[in-house]
Amino acid sequence: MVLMNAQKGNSHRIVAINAQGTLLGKLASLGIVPGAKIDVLQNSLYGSAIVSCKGAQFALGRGLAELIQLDD
Amino acid sequence: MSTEINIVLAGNPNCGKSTIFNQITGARQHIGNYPGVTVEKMEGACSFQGHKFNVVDLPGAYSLDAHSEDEAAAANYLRESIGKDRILIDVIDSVNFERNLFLTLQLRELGIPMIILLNMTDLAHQRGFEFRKDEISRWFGAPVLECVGYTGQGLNEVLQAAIDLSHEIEAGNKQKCPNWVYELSQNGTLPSSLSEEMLKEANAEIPEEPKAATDVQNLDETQKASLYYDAISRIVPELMTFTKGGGPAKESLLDRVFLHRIWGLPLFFLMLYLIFQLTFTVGAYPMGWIESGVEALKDWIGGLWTDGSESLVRSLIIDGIIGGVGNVVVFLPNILLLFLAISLLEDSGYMARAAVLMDRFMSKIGLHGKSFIPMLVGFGCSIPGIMATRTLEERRERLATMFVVPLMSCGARLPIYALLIPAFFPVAWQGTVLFGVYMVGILLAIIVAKVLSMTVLRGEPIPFVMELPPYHTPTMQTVGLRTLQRGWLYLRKAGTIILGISVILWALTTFPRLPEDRAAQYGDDEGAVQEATLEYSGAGRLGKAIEPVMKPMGMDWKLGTAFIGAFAAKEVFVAQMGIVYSAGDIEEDTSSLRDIMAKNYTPLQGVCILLFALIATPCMATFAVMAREAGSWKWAFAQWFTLTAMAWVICTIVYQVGIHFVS
Repeated sequence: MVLMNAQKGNSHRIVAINAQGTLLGKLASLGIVPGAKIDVLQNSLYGSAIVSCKGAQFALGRGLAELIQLDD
Repeated sequence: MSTEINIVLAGNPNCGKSTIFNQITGARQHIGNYPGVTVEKMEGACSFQGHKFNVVDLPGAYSLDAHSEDEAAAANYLRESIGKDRILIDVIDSVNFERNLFLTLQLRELGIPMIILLNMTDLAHQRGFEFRKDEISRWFGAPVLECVGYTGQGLNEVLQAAIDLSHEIEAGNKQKCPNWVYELSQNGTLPSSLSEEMLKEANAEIPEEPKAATDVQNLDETQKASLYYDAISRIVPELMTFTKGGGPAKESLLDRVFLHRIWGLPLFFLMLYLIFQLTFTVGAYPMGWIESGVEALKDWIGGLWTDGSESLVRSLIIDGIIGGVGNVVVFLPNILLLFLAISLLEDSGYMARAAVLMDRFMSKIGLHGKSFIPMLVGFGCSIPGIMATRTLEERRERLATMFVVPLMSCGARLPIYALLIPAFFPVAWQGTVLFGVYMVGILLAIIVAKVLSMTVLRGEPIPFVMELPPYHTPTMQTVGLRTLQRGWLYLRKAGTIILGISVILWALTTFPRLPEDRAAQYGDDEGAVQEATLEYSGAGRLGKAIEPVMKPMGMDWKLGTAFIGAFAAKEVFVAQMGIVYSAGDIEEDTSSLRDIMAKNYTPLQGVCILLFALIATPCMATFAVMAREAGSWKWAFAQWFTLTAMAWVICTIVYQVGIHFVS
């Protein structure tokens, strides 16, 4: 399942991120890496998903939310 | 013994670094620039226990593998600091402890003497985090302290620790790099079970050039980051405990309101509306005071010359210098209020939410959610608007944003509208027309941004990711200092540029001077003399020269001359029109000039003038700032010619089509 389809209030682990290069590096520097646990706080906001990861909150655009593969 | 101690503050964005910096240095700050880039360099100083501290507040960085101009500037400064006499203070947002340790680990690799500072521990304690400072100190080989930045609690201890550390260094005791950091960095390994062995001093130092694990194991940046995060998550249980049950994080109450699916956006627009109301209504009072102050200064200095001894020098000082600089200073109250509101929104954590709300739309036109901040500032003045694009990480988005900022109708264009709209439209329509002018600007900005993103600034869409810092009550010191600093930058930059331009423009409207015998023809008619003088001057001649270009838009040389003046500063248009029509002192009585405008031009021409004032020729200060911020004159020229050409095409179409309908 990709983050875009995840339900608000659920917790998941990131399995893979289907991106490359600088984007992947940028996400990694934020702690958004495969293996990290994320809590989905909101997923209906004009396509942005709001998640919590390692104590910090992030907004991830729709395009990005489709690239992040989660466990089920 | 008194020595100088150099401190460098480093940490993640939103870790409260700047608040600590402000608390330590107070107003003893200096904003500079890092060489070659437009990232602001914050420096300050303070004294404690007989020591002088020089403090540098680095831009916030998530990692040393730079992903933005800010991060690159921080990383470069840190790498330069290796082996220099500097003490690094790693500020950690304790609520975000685990994530912050990633940078801490990278900083430890650099080998710079370091103090780890846990900030905002009050919030962390509330959430049930307990830190084992001794353990953190052992694992990272650096002293660990706690503080609460916004109350200043614990900051004296930090300075004391810096003094102690500098004594240690003088005595030749280097901070040790723990074994596990060395192994992780050089071999990409962490033992399967944690042991005391890992905490012993490493046998070798980490080489300065960061080849590290990437070379050893062929890891890319992400794999290396994963490795580091993995290591951190394994040692975190040694460093802290949770006294309250975890459970998944929940959306905060405030986010339920501000990021509401339906109400979030209207609420944001309501806030914008209130900010504008505040800026323009409250700002009108101090604006009035400054205007009268400038007039009083002009009168006083003018009085230093006795009647009949008026010279060019007097004219240069009063009309050129004081008049020109006064034009800029007058907008300071508006700009300060706008900056105050923006600083409040930023410091409270709301700005990041607004960027999230705006991103869906902004990304469609090739801009970033954060692009709306510079555009918002642009309604006050394009100069700080363009400077505010520095927060954008992607150069492509930054350039596109800068390019369209002048289409946000700035405060200096308001006097032009105030002159023209009542001259050509009935009272009932005036508000709508003014609103329409602003809307046309916004609409054109959207179109231009979209076209740019499809042509010269084309590229893969950049996925949106942004940290949402926790909301907190803004601290007056941080907000106040930031507002004043931005105001000062505006004054200094715009003031110096405008000063030069004012003098040039003054010369252009003064020389060549009308020969005495020609002036004598007009006898006592002072207005006619003024008009003839202007026509004879460089500006008048330029106006005549460009008349053929102005004609298709339904404009004459007089308007051309006024628009040349508007290039120096938009509102100069009004004063120039006053002079070409010899309307006398228009500052005392605009209505007479309004009548003249209504008599000499049709409403259709009026619309064209409004549009041209809105779209064409960003003022010279904007031009100069654009060149500086974009890093090349090419962009400034491109912007200037694109906007001016666009204005010409639009006005020509409006006029040429329009005359068939209204005659």
